[in-house]
Amino acid sequence: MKHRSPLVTLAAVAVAFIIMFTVNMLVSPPGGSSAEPVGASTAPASSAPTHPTTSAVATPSASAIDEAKKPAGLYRARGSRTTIGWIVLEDGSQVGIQTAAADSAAAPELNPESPQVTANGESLDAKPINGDEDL
Amino acid sequence: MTSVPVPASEAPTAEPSGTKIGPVVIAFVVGSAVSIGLGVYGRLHTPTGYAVNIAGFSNGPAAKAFLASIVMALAILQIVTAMGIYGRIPLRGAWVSPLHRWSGRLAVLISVPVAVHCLYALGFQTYDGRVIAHSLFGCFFYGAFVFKMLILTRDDSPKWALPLAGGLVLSGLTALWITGVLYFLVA
Amino acid sequence: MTIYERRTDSLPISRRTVIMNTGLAAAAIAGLSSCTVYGSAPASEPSAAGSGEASGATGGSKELTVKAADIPVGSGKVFPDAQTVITQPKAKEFKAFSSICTHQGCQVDAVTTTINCPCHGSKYSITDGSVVNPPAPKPLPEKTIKVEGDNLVVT
Repeated sequence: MKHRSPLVTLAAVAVAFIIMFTVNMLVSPPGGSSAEPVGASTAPASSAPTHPTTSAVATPSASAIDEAKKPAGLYRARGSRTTIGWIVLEDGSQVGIQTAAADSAAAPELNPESPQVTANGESLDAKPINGDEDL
Repeated sequence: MTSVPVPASEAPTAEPSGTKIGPVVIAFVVGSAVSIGLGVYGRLHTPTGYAVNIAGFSNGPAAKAFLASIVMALAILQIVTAMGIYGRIPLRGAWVSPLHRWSGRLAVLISVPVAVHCLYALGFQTYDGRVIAHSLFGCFFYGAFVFKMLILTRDDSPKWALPLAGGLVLSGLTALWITGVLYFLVA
Repeated sequence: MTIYERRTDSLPISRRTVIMNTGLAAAAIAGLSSCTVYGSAPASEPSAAGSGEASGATGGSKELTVKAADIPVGSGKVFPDAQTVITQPKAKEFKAFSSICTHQGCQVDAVTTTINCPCHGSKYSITDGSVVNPPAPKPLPEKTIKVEGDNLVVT
């Protein structure tokens, strides 16, 4: 064999393929990870599930949805008996569900500025969900 | 003219002008294996609908069209410099050959993210004629490129081999550009 | 010959090669760091089904109410927030379908004389949601639509 540089080129192309495939396999699908509802059977988001309304870390995507700006986002309050989840939208409307043992009921209204609610006799603090919680 | 007996050890593989066809056949086989391998991957892999590409475009096809058009432009530079190297056009200078080699390397490297994007997000598709052609030419292009590189490693290929290889690479890329970029721009 | 000259003479690689390779590597790194993800993952149906069931459980069903006059005759309109497309194939006859394309999960985005998906060109009939143009493998699922006065209610 006389000339080696074509083989070097072939090797470079093969490496480029491997790098690109690896990068692709490492990224997560756009639109955030699967629209996992917060808490037990959270009330449905009022927008399409393909674009989950979360305030989770924005995924780098050209087809990204609008970023939820405070106070919009997910909130969760957890007490000894009761767990409540809320979805607060940018226009202030919200849906939420309150779960105690096996029962589910509509959640009390949440004021994101002062996120304390009373449910089933206990006082709960709602915290915004940032996406790095271990739920 | 009396014929000169050729020694038996030299006769079987040597072409009249001292070129060998064996390595060309091997190069063809290796290139075909690459093409088939890409096609098999494209078919077996479940397309994901998404892939990584350079940022700043409104969608995947737009990013691919941009990169693929750069590759196409470099390919045109390839054929022009090739014609100069073979004396078909009056392009002379020590820079012609290195330009041909480097523009070729750059073109094929830039094509890789495009190809991986297509393979990973869309796979080998057969739902209409255009995508069948694009999928087939995509596999073919890289096989032809491997074929050309392997031919270039030796000085004893038949003289038609390299121009043929180069021509196949260019045709493959042009077909890919037409079935991909042109469709995107016009449809 | 100085020591400096001797050292560069004995290098197996020329300065020009180093510079060219560094330039290429820099370009490659610049390219790699300016990447993003394009496309939409096709698996939207599971979450659609999931939230559909959840809405049933809490008793507040997701309804879409629109004015019948908003829907052009012989065509239709997409309501992406409700994942619904409403068509009026004949005057006063209304149909509603899911707007999630059955090919790879994109939302259909326009209704001409067919319901059209922008991703790969699938087209569906405004009469029954059946596939008029591939690559969609299945028709658009129908939704229940009721006329209530001047409004259309889709569930």
